[in-house]
Amino acid sequence: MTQELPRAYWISPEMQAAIDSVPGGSIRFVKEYDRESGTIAVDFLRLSPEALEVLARLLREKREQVLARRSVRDIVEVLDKVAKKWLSASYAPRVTAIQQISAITGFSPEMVEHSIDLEQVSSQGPHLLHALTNELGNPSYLDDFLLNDNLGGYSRAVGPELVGAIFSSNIPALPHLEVMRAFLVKAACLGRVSAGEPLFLSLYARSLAEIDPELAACLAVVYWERNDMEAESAFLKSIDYLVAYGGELQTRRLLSVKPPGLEATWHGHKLGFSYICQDALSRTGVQELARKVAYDFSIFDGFACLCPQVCLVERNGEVTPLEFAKACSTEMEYWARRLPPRCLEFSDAANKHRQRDLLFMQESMNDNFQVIAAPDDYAFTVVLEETGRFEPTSGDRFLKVVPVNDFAGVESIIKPLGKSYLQCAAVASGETCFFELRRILARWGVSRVVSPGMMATPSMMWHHDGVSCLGKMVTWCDHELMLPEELLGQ
Amino acid sequence: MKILALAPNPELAPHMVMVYGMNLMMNRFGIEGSRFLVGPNGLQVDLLLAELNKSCEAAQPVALLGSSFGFVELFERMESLKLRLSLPEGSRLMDAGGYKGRAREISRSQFILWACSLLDLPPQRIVNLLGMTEMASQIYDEVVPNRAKTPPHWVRTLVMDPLRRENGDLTEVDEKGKKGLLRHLDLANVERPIMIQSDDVGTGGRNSFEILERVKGAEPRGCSLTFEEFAFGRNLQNGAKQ
Repeated sequence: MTQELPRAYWISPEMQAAIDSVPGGSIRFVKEYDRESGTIAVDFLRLSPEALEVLARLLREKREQVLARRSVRDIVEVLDKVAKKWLSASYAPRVTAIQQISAITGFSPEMVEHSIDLEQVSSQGPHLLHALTNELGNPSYLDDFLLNDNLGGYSRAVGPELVGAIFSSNIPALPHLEVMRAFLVKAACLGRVSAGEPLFLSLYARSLAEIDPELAACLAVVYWERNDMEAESAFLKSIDYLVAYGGELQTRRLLSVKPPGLEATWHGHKLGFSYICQDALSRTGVQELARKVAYDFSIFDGFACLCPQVCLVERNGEVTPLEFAKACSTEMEYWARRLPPRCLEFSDAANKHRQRDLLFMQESMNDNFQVIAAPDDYAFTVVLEETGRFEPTSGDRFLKVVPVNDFAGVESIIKPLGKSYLQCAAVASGETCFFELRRILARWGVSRVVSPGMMATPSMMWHHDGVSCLGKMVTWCDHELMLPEELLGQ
Repeated sequence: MKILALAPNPELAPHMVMVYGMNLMMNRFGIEGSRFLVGPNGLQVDLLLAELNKSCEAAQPVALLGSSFGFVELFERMESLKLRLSLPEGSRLMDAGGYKGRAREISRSQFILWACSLLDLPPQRIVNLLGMTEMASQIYDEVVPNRAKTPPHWVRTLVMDPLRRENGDLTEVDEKGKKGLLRHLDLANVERPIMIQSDDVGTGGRNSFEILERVKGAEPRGCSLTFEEFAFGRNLQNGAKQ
């Protein structure tokens, strides 16, 4: 018996049959991932442009039959059940996902497992309902016209029929977020997996199908190469709303080729930072604070928009930036044991080695630069640098502590990044200045302010990258019963 | 011997060590008609082809020296022109420098196959030189029986394993034949560092080694920006403002 290869696609059996009847419609092919740990073969599905159009039509039909007829609470209930399954340590697909995603991405099994936990906790029903309430006022606006006191009438929110998604791969076990968001506004979802981590979605879809095959049939996950313009164009023409993850170049290219009327939410490259004020640097709490900062820098090995790029530490506190950097390096070691770093490929290691040599060279030539920790296994790096310039890190748990005199120092380093890049700020400070700080950060374009240790765990309620991701997808219809002056009693 | 250099002349590139060396060779061994064939606009392929034709007609052997990517440019032009030459007996070719992203990377055997078939050179007349600005010595490949590079006896080449770092330095690969990063110790490097860690990936070691490829650059992963992309994005933003 031949063992089934891990799959990078999902289409309901019924739709698969329909696609197979399109001549030349679907091609299954195997992609091999050569890793230090061995070669992993993955089964991919590529559709012809015609087949993609057929699939989109079928998904729309399915949406009418299933999503459109369900209440939003019914949908949430199913998603909640899926999340609960994934949170159970013995759930077989979870065990498979940990092993396979780890093998493909190099992330340690512990990290993949941790990531599944983080993501699935916030995928549970109450979180989803809260997110809808947060953005729409009341989830039931998606079911029918509902009394809206503020309007003096009734309101109804209508989602798109078909959301198209270009999924991400950098955070293990996260891509289902966009499937959930589509389903929450009662849209079917057609998406392209990323070759970087193509497996989670098909496992997730199969879990969904175990619980509710009809709902699972409202999702299709396929693949096309980035340079396959025909498939991409068929995809963009078939969908009502686009959610795209990707780098600068990919985003700009998609922007230039997408139909002008197609609305979209973009999740491009984002940058975060930590800021430790002097009033947070008391000797008693320093190790605890360092552990939290170290967690932020260790999670996902630093390869996520949620990860900080630099830790700005104020001088003149009870603890100096150098002492804080040293405390951080102890804690980076702690996290390297708890959540081991990724398995490096040959070329990664070669580049890390070169980077290390350059760091030591820099240290010997530059009085403002100090290597605090750089263990031989490349598990993490901690440096201290006096600089007024922002530089993105190369990932792999690279913690750079930059001393600043005060908030003006933060401003000169961070503010120039601007709205399009800024995302999350972890701030440790006393209460008095914090309120003023967060006002300023919001003005700069920071879309999330948290305490250290929380950067990797955004809630479903977060306005992801500053956007109402659910709210933006829906269109409102208001039934007004009163004249404006009647409504406000004037 | 007539020497044709696929390199700029010393006036154009006074600081290129490869050009300096070629110029020495030309002055010492070159006969009339020897020349440099890279101008301000790149390799003068037509001129080079004309020179090669001249040599063929005169049955005068020629030594072709130059950068590997220069040869690739020549071969690609010859392919597109469906041109094949039979260089006179005694002709030879020496390339150096690798591709450095200037031309598509091709394997050593493909390069040799190309040179043999397009120029009718016997394989043993095609030699590759490994030279580095940082290194006083040069290392040539053995043309027979294999293509391994044999350093002179004052040079040692070690194959280092980037995945095994101890006490702040790499260790040698633990089994013969395993790929690693090449590290050269050159005793001819007087008053300069004698140990050079390269980014060449190879196998073998000590007395003979083979270069397989250059280390692939760190691939951008996840949302963390590469510096290039970052700079690119900022340039676009600034451009839009202006």
